[in-house]
Amino acid sequence: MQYFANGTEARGVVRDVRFSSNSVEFIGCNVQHNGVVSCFIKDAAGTYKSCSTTAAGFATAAAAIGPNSFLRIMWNAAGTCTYLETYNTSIYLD
Amino acid sequence: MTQVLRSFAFGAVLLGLGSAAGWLLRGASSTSTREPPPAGTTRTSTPQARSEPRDRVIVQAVDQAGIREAVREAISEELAAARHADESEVAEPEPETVAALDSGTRYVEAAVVQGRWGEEQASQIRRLGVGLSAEQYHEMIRPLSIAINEGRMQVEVDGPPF
Repeated sequence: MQYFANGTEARGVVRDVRFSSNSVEFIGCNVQHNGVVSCFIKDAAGTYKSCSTTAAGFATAAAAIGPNSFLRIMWNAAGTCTYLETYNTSIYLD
Repeated sequence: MTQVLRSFAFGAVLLGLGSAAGWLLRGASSTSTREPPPAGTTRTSTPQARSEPRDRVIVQAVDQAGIREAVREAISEELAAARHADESEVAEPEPETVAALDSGTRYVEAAVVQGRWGEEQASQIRRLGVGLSAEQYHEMIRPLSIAINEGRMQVEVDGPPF
């Protein structure tokens, strides 16, 4: 998994993050029944990042996340997710 | 919705009054026995009719335009007032949700001061968030997310913290 843009963007493949050499990293998002989408990232050093949003479209993108998905998550200083991209492609299949 | 319907009815009445006023003004300024021209048409001026028809046409145009403008403004104001009333009615929160949001906000603030967020906190914030709208929940957890991102929180949760 990689961090970019002064700690306000993270991206990585879900499976690769899970099976990285350390057991610390993770990346993912949840969708609550009230429509709030939250995303959470932890890097190899244990640095934790999070964001949430109620903006339209995020729930759809989050629901598309699978074990082989490439995720790109961006957030702002106010703790709001500003971008979520789920990329499902044959490249990341086993 | 009924407010909007009332506004349209009011506007229709104003339009009717404006048309009637324009017709009356055309009649009042006429001294000729000839039929008045339809609104919006131009007349070619002849030597016999130069002074009277020209004056009548100018007065007619200004009044109709002024009346139309006044009607437009009145309709616009009514619609804006109706929209504001509708929005105010929708935005009124229930007392229970206001209390729940207040409790949740204070819980998050206390946890941020403590600097620790574990499984118990993760469960409690969800219980406190039941009944809140998406926007309310988002606002409630925003200080927590900011504190996490600034490295001020020790997060000890297996799953998502909120």
